Amino acid sequence: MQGAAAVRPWHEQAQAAFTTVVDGENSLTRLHGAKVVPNGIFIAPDGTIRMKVIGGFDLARPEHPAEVQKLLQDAQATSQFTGPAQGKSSLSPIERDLVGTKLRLGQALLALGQREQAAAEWRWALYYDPENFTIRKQIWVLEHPEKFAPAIDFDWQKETLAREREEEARQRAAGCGPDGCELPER
Amino acid sequence: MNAQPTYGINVGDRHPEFALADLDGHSVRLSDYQGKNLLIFMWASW
Repeated sequence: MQGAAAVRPWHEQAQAAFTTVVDGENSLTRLHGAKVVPNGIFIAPDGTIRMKVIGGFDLARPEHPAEVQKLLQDAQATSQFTGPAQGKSSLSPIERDLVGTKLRLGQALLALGQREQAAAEWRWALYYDPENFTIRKQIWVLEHPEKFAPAIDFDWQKETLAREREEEARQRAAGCGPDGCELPER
Repeated sequence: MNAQPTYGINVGDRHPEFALADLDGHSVRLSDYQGKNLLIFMWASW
């Protein structure tokens, strides 16, 4: 289950008063260079970003809503929780665009019911961007939904991450990717 | 309209326009909140 159908139960359980949108193509996370969630972005009335917290933004922690309150009260303030400026990515521009294309293609295939093909496209996206947990977790949810409902199995995620990283390192060392291995030069 | 890749936007930059669908499929744009403070909280069900 993906998209609004997956999100709605959480929104209703929280009795959320705010607007929830679905970013099925990871467009906002890619825009901000985010490879994890949860993230918090505060935008002032003039459209200027005044807080950007990538990873670990948690409204249940007292200091985070307090920081937002400070920004609401002081029009000139910026957040002390803003992480380091993210001006560079480890990916080349072509790789970034390819990752984005693979993500969108996977979403389109999933919408057509082609789950295996969708996962294959996302595995290519992960091959180019292996530290991107938003991609990795989407693959996990697709291939192992039982590990995410009715409860999220975080122990399974830790074990799976360790196993997948080991396998990915082995494949890269052998010149292999999601579609197989390169033929050795004669 | 989806957000275009504009890598490295940081505090002090203007946030690019974007449009995403809410849970009922209605388009929500950043410009809908012009003149207001806005907190975007990115989360996932996984």
